[in-house]
Amino acid sequence: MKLWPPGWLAALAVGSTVVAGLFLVPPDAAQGDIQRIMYVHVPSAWLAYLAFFVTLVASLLYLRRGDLRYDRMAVASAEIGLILTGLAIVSGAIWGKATWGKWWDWDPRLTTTAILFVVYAGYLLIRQSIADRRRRGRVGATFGIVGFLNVPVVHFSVLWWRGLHQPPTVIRSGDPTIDHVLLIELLASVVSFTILYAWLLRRRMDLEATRDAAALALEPRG
Amino acid sequence: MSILQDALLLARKDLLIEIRARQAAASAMALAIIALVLVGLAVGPQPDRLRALAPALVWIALLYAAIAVAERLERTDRSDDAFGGLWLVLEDRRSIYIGRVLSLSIALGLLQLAIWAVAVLLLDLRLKPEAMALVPLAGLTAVTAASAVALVLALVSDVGHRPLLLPVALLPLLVPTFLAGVQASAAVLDGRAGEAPGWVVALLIEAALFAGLGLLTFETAASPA
Repeated sequence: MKLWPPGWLAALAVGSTVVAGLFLVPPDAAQGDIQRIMYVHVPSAWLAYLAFFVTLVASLLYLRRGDLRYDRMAVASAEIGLILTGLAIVSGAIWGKATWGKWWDWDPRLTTTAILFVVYAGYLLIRQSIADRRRRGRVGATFGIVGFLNVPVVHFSVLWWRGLHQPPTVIRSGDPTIDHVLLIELLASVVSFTILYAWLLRRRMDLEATRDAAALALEPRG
Repeated sequence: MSILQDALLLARKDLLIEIRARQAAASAMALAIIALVLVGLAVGPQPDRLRALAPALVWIALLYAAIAVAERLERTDRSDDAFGGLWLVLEDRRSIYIGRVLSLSIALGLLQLAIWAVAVLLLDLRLKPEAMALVPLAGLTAVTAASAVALVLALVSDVGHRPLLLPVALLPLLVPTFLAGVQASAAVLDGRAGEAPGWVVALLIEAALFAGLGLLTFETAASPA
């Protein structure tokens, strides 16, 4: 599978983005250095959406074709998505403390993101509670489809309700409301995180395949 | 028999069991009253604050009541492998899902009205004639919640620690329903009826999504190992 990025490329991409984000790109005119956390926060949030979308698609494919590779992809992507959602929440809280003066606010975007985290934590908990491999896959796939219903709610929450969180600055009608240099670094960090996500996904799928093989080998015969 | 006839029979069976045993409704109502009393105690004698909180309180009580009712119905079905028998006998197994949605909708709709009645007494709510809109709203929210509850029940039916995992799996999924239900009820109670239709549309969309997903995936999700 030549399409999967190697580990060194993921490390290089993330490393160079971190160096550029911390030392090369100028600070934001209004927020100063704290704005640099955006290069972690925004890619984490976007990649979490992507990860949960991959879980949705892989779940649909598993239900349709019954191939365990899709189930492994679904659970691997959900796990990475959960970590990225956690990273988005934590980085957002650090930024919030510096900017809003508090770690947490009952803002619609923050609250719906926290709920999204709980939904996929529930997905993993339910999977862990089912011993039968095929049933675990079926139940996981159904939950992976239902759980995705919350993703659009998170994304559009800043438009549907008033809150502290800013509305979209890049994906919006009209030009992005962000300086071009900062935008380039932001997009570069999104690409780096995507490479890291793809590498992690591949590694996690391999691990799941090894687990399945081990479980099969340990099954009593006859 | 058609899928609808099977579903009606199964819903009737659920409701008859509940009417005769009166276990789920009694424990759900007790849970709801305890929740209302505890929050009343915690907030203190501030009628205006309690009235403002009423829609959210009623809905939180309803969500926990929904878990109690659903858990009871599922436990009855799973005892003595009754579910396995149903699975083998039925021509179209989606009738189990539709039947469960019907019975849960009726149970949750009635429970919601009963919880509102308790809330009116305990929280000293002053209802205007427009508050009658809470009745159809209770029906709609009950169908929406029931569509989700019946699907999640199928998912966690035979997992270990089901009573623990049911709320973990269900409550986050019901957040959009909770939000729309609370906002629509608050709009009706505060005389801002013009704001309710938007939330009603949101509830209709959620009901359609949950019911659609339930019908599409129930057989796969509930299939015994």
